[in-house]
Amino acid sequence: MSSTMKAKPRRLKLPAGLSYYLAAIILAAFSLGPVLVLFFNSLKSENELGNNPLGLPLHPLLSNYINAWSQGNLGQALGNSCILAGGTILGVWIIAGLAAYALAHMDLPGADGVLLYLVICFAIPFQLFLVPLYFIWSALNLTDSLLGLIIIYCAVNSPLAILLLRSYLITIPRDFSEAARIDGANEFQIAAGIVMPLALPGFLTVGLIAGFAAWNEFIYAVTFIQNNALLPVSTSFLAFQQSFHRYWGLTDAAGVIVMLPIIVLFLILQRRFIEGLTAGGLK
Amino acid sequence: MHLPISRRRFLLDGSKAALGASLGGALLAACGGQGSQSNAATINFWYGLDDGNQRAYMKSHDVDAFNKANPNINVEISFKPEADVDRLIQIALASGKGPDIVPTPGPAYALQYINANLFLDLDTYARQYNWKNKILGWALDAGRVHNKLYSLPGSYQTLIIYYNKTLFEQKGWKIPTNRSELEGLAQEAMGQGIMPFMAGNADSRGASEWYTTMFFNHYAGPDAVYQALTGKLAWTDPVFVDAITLLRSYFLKGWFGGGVQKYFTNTFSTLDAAFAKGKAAMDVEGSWAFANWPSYFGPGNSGMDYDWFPIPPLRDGVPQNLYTLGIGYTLSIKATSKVASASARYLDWLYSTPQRAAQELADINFPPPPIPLNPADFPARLDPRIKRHYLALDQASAQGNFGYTTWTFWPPRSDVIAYSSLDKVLSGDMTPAQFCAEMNQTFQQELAQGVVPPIPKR
Amino acid sequence: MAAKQMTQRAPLSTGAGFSTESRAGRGVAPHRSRRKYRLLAWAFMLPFFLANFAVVLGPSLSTFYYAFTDWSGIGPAHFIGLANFAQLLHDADFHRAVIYNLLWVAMFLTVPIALGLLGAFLLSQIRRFQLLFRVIYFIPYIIASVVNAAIWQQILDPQQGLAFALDRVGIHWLDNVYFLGDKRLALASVAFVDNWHFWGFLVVIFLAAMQSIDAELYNAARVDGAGRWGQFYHVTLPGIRSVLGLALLLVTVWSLLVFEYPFIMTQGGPAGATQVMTILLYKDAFALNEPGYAAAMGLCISLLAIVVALIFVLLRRKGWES
Repeated sequence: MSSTMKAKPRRLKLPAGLSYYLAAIILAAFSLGPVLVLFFNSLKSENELGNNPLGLPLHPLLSNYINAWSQGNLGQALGNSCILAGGTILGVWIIAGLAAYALAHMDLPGADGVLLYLVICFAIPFQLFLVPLYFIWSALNLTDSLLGLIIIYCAVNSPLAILLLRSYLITIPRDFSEAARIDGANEFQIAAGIVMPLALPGFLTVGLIAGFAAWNEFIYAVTFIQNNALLPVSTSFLAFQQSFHRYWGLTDAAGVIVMLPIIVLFLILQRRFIEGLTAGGLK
Repeated sequence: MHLPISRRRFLLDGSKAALGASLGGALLAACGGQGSQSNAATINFWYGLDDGNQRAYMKSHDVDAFNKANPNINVEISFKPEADVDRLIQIALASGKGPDIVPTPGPAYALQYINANLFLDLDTYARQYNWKNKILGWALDAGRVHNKLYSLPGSYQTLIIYYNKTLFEQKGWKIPTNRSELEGLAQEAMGQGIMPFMAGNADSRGASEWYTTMFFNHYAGPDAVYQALTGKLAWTDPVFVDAITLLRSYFLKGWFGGGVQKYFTNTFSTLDAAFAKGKAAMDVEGSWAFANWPSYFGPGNSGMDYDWFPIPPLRDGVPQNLYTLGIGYTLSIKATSKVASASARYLDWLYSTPQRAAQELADINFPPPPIPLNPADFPARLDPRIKRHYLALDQASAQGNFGYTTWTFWPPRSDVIAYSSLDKVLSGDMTPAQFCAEMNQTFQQELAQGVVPPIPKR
Repeated sequence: MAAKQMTQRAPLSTGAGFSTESRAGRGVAPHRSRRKYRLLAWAFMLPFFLANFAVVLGPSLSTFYYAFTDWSGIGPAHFIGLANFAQLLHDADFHRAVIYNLLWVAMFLTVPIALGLLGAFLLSQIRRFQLLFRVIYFIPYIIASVVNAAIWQQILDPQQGLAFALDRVGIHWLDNVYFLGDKRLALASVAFVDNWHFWGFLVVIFLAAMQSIDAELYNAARVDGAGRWGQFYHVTLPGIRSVLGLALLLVTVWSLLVFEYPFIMTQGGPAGATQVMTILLYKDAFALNEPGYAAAMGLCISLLAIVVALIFVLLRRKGWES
């Protein structure tokens, strides 16, 4: 329109930028504050925790980490959790990727019905089918195994993954896949070669969410796995209490240990994400 | 034998129930392999216990010791999270699986399995091993349904009042022996800014049933409770309503936990620390609490010391030195177990070794099974307060001067009401009369369904 | 200034060697049979259906069956028709629970969504430290709920938490405020903690959606004179419509099914002040030995959530996503 309007954004640019940073920092303090409390408390002795519950550790020590690691057998548990998370991510990528592609790019007949079914799947509280599922799994000999648990996680996390991926995939125009189809490429080639790479951020997000859900899930884990050697890390926190008296220092240290791998995973996946972001040209 | 497993605290142990099993048993996984010998009968035993040190102790003293002495039997213990074990057992048994030796939180809970024919009738073993003379009568009878023995009592306990002895000495307070002395003491403590009774159910909502137990038994009286439990008296009788009304008035005065909202927020660790420092005077709690005090009292900690006394009668006519009885957990044998006689052998060993039990009590505060304990059985290093406690308990049960804890003798749904509806009374959402009416309605239903556990006669 | 909802991208070279020349007309290439194509589409759905039927559908159907029985978890189940549902109608605890869930929906459709959009918007404007901020916002979502609950129980503790810290500096607003012990404050307090844990998740999915919006649209809007807020309102929001709609659906359904935080922080207390539907269900199933009744309750909860889902599908039909 008029040239004065064009000038406006430039004039306001610097203060506006600053205010955004300020707002972002306030939000960050909101998110991070309690986490810092967690971190500080993991460095305090039980005694200090009683007197100084929220502040900086006056006599920081690392013994909580060492004790939490050995008492909770965190090494083995972390390994189990990695298997569970990795298996779930892979499974969900395959299951949800195929299904979302069919829904978004293949004119699946009855797509509305399928969508409705997906949404209905969300609407079932998990407590309901825990017991019957145990009976079925027991008959199939899938209890007490990480594989059995991975299958459950894949099935339970798929609906959300499919819906999310589908939202991303429908923003990708069909022209490319149409053209390739006409040119004789088969559906798998199109899916894997053209469309999926364009939806990489979607895949990464879905992988992150599914992996994280598997990492922290505990009710199914504790119900379906009997063998202590197979239990994942989400179930380790109970090691640090006696009757009702919880050892907060150990619990907090374990909490920090348990969250680090996920942060690392997030960092890895999110870096690719940023590349996608800049390529997409978001200003 | 050990600290009681959850008394059906499914919702109550929120943060613990929400967590899963400990891997302190990696120790276990490593050791699990070593015991299997080729011709040994292998017994699967599930047990709810969280702490790694306690697991290691129990395994070496209660399992490995037996295995060593009995080379052709191999007991394999699998530890589960305390708060989840009941649910896990229910699911496993319902799907035809589960361990050979099955623990449950008490006779009321064993009943559901007994009625579904999932537990073995133990009478032949009772005769063979002469359990009648080894196990305290009332405790053994609690496992008898339709005149058949289906479950054995794992541990026993009662409700007492712990008090900060050093504080009492400093203030010149005496141990109360009746209601007016108790109320006077509480008022004086409040006046000095000291919490009369430490109390809080933030960590376990089920703690509320301790107070229901206390007031029903020590105000309404054990006779009334016995009659109600056997269906001869309704729970709506004024004596019960008055008991709850009194309970409520004490809470509203701030005598328990400092106030109702504080009661809902107080955590055990905060309370224990305050109690040990003299900011609270007394604590109504069960025998299991002995295990907590060494971390808070004594030189090196708060420097103050504790002791205990029995809950005084709160109404005329209620006896002194009354102890409400509870069973921490029961042990049964799965009906389809292939190693039943070996399992019975192991169970008998647990009841035939009083010195082992007393030693565990001294070492790690595991409550003993309900077997008569001679003063001679107790090791010298056992804390004299604990020794006095179990001797008093044995004497009371021998004399028939006992009451009934809600978590052992109430049927399951009525037991839930004992704590969850009591909370509503405290928060003002329910009147004591309504509480008793709800209790009565549910109890009569369960009585008709046949799910009230056996009630020992007085 | 409203930018048209265009999803056309600048042509990219695919690198896979396929030509991007498109023929006139949509549709499948004539030489492939329609039917085979349809079957193929269903074949792509197969892995999902296999997993889902085994894990979700089968057990749910058996739960459906139990809802009409008096099963106690152990032993036989007797058919009792609609008796469980009749009992539900009179169950005061259930009515209260429904209200708590509706309150939760109201709280979660507003605060976290707004925070999520705000966070995503801010991050899209910030060039430096973007990754750092993103990680920070997401961390609460990553931490185990038990640990989160523990931290906040500590912070909200009337004697040892924030109230105590503020007291030291002479601010007495929080004296005698019992966040988790006062039945009037408990639900909102637990919701607050869950919100703290959850909003980073929304930032991540909104951001992912925002990155697929064509830069051209922003340029067009800027040319039209839109400021940053204008661009957000007229380009970004419509651009992430699909994901935003999904987020609203998710939040609503998850609010109806919320379990973890009320369970861990207050176990449904104090005196039932945070006893949402799923906690009541869990209590009935496992503590009260009434899984038949619990199944009936579960069905009702699911029905409620399904109604919400239907509304979503209806809106979609009306072109919400187009």
